[in-house]
Amino acid sequence: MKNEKTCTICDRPRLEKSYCTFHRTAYENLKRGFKKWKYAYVSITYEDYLLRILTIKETGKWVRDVALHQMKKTELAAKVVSN
Amino acid sequence: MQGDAHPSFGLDAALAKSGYTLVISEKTDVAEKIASAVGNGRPTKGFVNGIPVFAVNSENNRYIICAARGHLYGVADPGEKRSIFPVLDLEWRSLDRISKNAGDANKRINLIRRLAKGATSFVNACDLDLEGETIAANILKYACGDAETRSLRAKFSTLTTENLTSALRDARPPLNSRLAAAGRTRHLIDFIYGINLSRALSMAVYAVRPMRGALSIGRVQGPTLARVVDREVEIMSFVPTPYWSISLDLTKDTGAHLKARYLSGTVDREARAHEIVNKCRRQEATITRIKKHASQLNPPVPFNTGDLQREAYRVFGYSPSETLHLAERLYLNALISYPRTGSQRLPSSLDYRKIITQLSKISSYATMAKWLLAGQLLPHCGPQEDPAHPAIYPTGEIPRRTLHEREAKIFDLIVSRFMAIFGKTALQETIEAVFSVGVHDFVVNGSRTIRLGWVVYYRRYLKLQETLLPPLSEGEVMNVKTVHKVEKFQYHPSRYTPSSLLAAMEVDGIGTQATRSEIIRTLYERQYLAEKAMVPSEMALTVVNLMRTHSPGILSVEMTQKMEKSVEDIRQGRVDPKSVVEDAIDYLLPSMEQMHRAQRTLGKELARAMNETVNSRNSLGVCPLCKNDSLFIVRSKKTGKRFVGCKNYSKGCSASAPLPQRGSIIPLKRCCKQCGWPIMRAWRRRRPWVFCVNVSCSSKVDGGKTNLSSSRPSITKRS
Ligand SMILES: [Zn+2]
Repeated sequence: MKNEKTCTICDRPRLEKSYCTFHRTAYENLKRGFKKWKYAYVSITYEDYLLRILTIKETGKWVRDVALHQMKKTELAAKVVSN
Repeated sequence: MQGDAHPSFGLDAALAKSGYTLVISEKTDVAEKIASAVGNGRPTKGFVNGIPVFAVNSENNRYIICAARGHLYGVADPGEKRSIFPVLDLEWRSLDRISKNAGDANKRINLIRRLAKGATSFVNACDLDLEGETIAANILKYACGDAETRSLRAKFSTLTTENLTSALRDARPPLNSRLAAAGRTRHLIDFIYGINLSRALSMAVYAVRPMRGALSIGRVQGPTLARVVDREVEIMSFVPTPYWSISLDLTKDTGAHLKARYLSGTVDREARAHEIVNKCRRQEATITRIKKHASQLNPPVPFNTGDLQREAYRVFGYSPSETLHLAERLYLNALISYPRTGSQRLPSSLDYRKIITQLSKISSYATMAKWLLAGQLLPHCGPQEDPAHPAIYPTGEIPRRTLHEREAKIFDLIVSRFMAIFGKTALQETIEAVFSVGVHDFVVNGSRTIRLGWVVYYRRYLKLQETLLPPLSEGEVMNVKTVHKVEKFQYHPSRYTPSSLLAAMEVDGIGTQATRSEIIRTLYERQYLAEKAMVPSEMALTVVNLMRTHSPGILSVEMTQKMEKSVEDIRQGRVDPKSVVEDAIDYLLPSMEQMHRAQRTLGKELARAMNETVNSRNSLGVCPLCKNDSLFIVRSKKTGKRFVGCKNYSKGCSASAPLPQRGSIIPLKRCCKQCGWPIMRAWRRRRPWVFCVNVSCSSKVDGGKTNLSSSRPSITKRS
């Protein structure tokens, strides 16, 4: 079980939401990045964006962590809805 | 003079009579060189408690010369209780009363104190910079009975006989003691910051969890570390943005082919990239513009410390501190001028022709020296000046011993650079041909060297790039054979290298030529950085993050710049040292209070980060026997010895291997190709070696040690 006061991803203390300061920065960059990707590819979905981000070697480690965490959350949500 | 209290053999006679000049240098090699230079005959060398002393007579003086070997006095906290801070009441003490690692400082102080009694005059022959002046000022004040104001200053930038003789002959009373005051103030401020901040961090951890290891942060160390951490945060949080690069393969009927890239650079939308490709496919490209430009490459400027350190890192991969260490050895051998300098200028009084003539006696420089000596010698100098020393230059002395491979490389770099500054401007012609395909323009670039100029003297370290193009003319038509569209992603900023961090510190104006490389080395020693790649540890990330939250002023570059400026103001006589120290304390105290208020939060976070850093440092990856990620460096609770062990020991895994008990070891995070066990790097007394930890590995040669030094030829002494 993860400590409630620590980041959902790592052992650092969490900020007001579920991430630590570093994963929070990565999350914000990920959100900002999607706007640029949408401009570049036009029809890309957020899920495809996360998938593709994970395959690029230039992607930062903390961004990967967050992308994976976001994907897990989406999968979980989809399961809950389908049940 | 007899026994332990007095110098032995020939020195006895020299010291029996008082009335000599006591010369104090910073290093024993310098003392010996001064003794050989200033005397009529051979100097007498003796030892007192193992400390060398030299005695020599000149025409009208008797000299006794001894060396300090760096600082003999340091700033100390008279309170001595490590748990108490802030520490603001400080005193200067002999090093042996401050540190267990003071070496022979006490013996040297005692010797100087005795020698001072028989001296009628004193000469300060320490290095002519802030540190040298501080070393000498403390010795003259505390060991020579306040002789600071009565002493003479010998000024020299090389250890050649000629330079030392004139420096001693022309030694004059110092105009003022401002340089020493500036140096002493810097030490005080650094000590106040270092001790208080480090104690605040260490005590915060200790309040939460008693654990081994102290944390440190300092006035220059803090902003430097923050730079590295900020870069790491950028890299780790980096989201690459896509873009497309478009290029054409062009062919001529003659068979010639060229590659042209899209003139407007990159394209940031996929649809737009498609459109350009479709418009260019199977079309003709017409040359609409050809632009030729002759560009001049001025000779380089002579090295200052930072330039030398950066260049040595670029061409040899040497760390800044190693380069400085090697350059100092060359200086002590009188081969180059003083290497701690900010100057990029050479004095006009320097006899360039004589230096180059002497260098021509070394076979590898003979031809180049001949070319230079055939013309006028006008050096190309840079804008930066240093009031104490000129830029680094070879003295023209020829190595009297075979230089160590790494020394030889630095020597060659300095000599080549010195020769290059007298060379002619190099000339290159660049050609830009623009091809139009409908409304889209593409470009081909070429370049060729017209005149090598100064590059001939520096060609071992610099190659001019050339891209030769076939003959092209405006209006000429070529066929578009292929259109390439490549999807790419922006690359994250690079991590700092020791060299680029040094440059960034220079731009920020933090630290000095003499101290910057030491600061970088300290970051490694304190486990804030992992080896070479400059990856900050969890501890570094956490310390910077916490300081930014609780005491942001401590990491501020502006704060450090302001203090550097204050130290310079002391040197210029514009400000009183006392007020500079008071300002520094005023700036520090609110941060200390904030840290104290947040002690528990700091402590918990730092303890976690320390554990994580130690675990990551000691982790050796997958165990070759049980195949779990469980191989670690372990320290025996019983014997205190370190060895390699598996965390699954209690579950029956018997993997273990001995480790060297002395010196530093670092896991290289890779496995031996022969046996799969981890590879590590160890070093002792600056000698590194790489080894596989498995004692029965088939790769073992020479007891498992593989010395890293390669076998490049070195510059040898004159035959
Ligand atoms: Zn986190």
